[in-house]
Amino acid sequence: MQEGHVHPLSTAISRINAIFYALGYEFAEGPLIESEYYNFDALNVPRNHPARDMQDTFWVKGVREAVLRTHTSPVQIRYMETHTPPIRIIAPGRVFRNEATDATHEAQFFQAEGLCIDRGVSLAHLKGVLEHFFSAFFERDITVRFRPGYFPFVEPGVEVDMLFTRKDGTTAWIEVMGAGMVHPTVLRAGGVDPEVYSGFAFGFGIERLVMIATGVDDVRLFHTPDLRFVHQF
Amino acid sequence: MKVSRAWLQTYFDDPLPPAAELAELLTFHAFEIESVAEVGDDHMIEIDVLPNRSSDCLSHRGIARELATLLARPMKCDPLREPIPPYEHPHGLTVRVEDTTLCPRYMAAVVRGVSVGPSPAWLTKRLETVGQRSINNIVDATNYIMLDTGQPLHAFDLAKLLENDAGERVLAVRAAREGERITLLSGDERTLAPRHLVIADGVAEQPLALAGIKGGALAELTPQTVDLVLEAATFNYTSVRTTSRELKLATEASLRFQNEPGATLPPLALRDLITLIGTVGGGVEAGVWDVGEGEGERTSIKVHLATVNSLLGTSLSVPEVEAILVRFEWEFSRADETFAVTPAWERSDVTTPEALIEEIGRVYGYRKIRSLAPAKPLTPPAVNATYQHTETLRRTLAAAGYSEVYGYLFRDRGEVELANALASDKAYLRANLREGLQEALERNAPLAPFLGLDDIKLFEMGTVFREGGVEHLHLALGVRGIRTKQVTLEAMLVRDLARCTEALGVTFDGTVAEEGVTEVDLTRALALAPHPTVYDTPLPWDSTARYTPWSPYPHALRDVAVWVPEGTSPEDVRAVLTTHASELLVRHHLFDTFTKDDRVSYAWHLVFQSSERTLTDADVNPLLERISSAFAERGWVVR
Repeated sequence: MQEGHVHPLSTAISRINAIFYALGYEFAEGPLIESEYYNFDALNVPRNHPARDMQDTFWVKGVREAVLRTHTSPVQIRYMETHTPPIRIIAPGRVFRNEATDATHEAQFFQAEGLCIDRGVSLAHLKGVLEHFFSAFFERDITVRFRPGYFPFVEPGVEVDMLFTRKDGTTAWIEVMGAGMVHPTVLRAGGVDPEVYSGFAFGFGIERLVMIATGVDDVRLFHTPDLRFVHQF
Repeated sequence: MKVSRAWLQTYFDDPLPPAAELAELLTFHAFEIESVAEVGDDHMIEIDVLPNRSSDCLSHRGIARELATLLARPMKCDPLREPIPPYEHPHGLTVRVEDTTLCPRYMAAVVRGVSVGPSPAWLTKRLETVGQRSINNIVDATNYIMLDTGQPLHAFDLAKLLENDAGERVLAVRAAREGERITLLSGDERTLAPRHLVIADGVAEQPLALAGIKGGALAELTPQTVDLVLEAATFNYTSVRTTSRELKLATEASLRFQNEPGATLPPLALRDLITLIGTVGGGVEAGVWDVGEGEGERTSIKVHLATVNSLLGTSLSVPEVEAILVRFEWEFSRADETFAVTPAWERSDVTTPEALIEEIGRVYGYRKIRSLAPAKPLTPPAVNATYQHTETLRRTLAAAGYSEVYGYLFRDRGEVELANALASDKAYLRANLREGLQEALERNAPLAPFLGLDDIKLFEMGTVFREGGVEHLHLALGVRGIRTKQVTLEAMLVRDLARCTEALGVTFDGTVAEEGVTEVDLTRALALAPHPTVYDTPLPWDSTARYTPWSPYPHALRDVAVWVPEGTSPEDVRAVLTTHASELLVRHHLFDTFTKDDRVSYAWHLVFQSSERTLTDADVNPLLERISSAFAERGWVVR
């Protein structure tokens, strides 16, 4: 009998979970239909603030203030509300953006959110965790660098590049995620005292990591049920 | 925000580094750079200024200020720090602001005796370098000062305002009347309502501009214009944002106003605009109205050295932090290891210790942040039972021959509708998996020979959306018989579903089966399944796997069967096949083997495909002949 193939997104999520589990991160989840509060307000994206335009949003008809979550960040708030620090979670899942699709944009895709809250957590810890993760995921030594970035739910906010060595030995800096130190307003929204605790958070696209690892050149392939794609993994 | 290097240079005595170096400096200490382009003898740098810095950095002055900090060199001039001359009120014009919440500050300057005409070459060039079109000297001057200072500005033709009986003209900042219409400078019309703020001719009762968004045609400048009213104002950012979105009018002005530039800015920009119009248009200032006022004094932010280091993960000393703070040219003092810093008024984004630490960190340089290896946890985290169960199901189904697909969540029907769908056939969230899986079976059935599959067996696991937005986790299995009878496959599907329940240790209820697809709601079953305490090893991953795109052209399928003497291996036959079939043979599968009278028969599926065109018999038949002759040379008999 011929064995079936598991979808590469499932495999990627499984590996992400295993790498972070070993670092003490719990797999956390949240609903795909989110309230405006969890998706924006609690994440320091106020109503009528231009930062809301950074993520094109789908609204759900007939449910008050309900959106399709635009990122996995609402899971941060939901988890903080029911847990006390130290907190370490990894939250992979579907997210939605109301934008036209092309080879690098999908209206539905997968993201993974990481959150670590403890006493004395710094950008240096974030860098260490990300280098460990990328090195384990891509099975090669990877260093990361930070550049200034802006996401309302973190301050300082950074863009993360990784120095990626290709199979042919050439290297390139590749932009892979947004991250930063959790904004005090966000910690407070989750019931965590920013005077005592600090934390970092990061979020990345899972398709993008698989594309970098395997050379898939069109993000839409992940969401097209075609075995010519799935059987290559 | 597109900036010109030559324009930035006007802020410094010494030559700035080349554009590429400026871009690199900004990339690692301030903003992402979209592009750098050579424009004539100048360079344009396109900077991605995000909402946190849109109130001060959508301007050349703002970027120059950043460079001054990052290069640690003073600016030779700064329009935001230079004095404002005293103004008289103008004769014959008054300003009436009816809502000071929506318009905290309104300044109107009268300038007389201009001649409207083409801009001087330097001004046209500056604007064109940053992608703006030259219109006339007066409009260009307002755009130039906006791009220089970040303050949106507007020029009205004074003569087009009606005089009242006392010979006065009136500019009114007021709510639009219900149904009031305005023709914009672009010629477009909009019908307004009281929620929209306008600048109106207070005598003629006609709207002259949509406040903070776009000017109207009524008081538009013409070559005959001689006297101007120049506007520099502050409008409520929510009001500008909601109006701009509702009326679908996004402009350079609305972009800036919705990011709240300070109310201290209008007089500074107006001063520069009056001067520039004097130079390029010959007008003379004849009085200024100023209704409202700027922001008050800022309070200081206190931050301790230890907090700076503990958030950034650095070990900066007091002198190092001081050396960074000095570069901003902000007021600050220090008591022991605590700094009290008062950012400049235009940096409305810096109000908390964390924001200040971010400023220190990015000037210091994030590239210098070290890496601390993560500590191993003392106790393992909780296992997410639902997730572990889904992995078990994936493993079980893959072993039973099912491949996993991820379908689209947007469909043409369902129980939850989107308010702003991408398209009418994507207006609902899926209420089940089976419709999508049926389509997936249809799509993949013709591919079975190409993929070397006897039959198509698929599964999908994921969220479906029910009435009121309730989310359920579903699993669907589907089969399509190609070589096997459909009824046989469907019987196997029932058995394979039983394998799933066995693997989880629960039973499924509410199973829906139709046309080769079975769907179950996992929500309850997974809650009842025994709770795992550890994760299995992760799903297998082939780290050498590289994706290869497939040809968009159809494949041609041929079968070949050959008698060979016993002892000839399939590999021997495969070698002959692949040597003689050319690169058009993209796949081949041995699908049948049997032995009779010291001879073995091997039967192969051969898949031919080109990445450039559709193959015909004329392409494929000669290849088959070549294969046959190669077999014959070895004494093998094609069946």
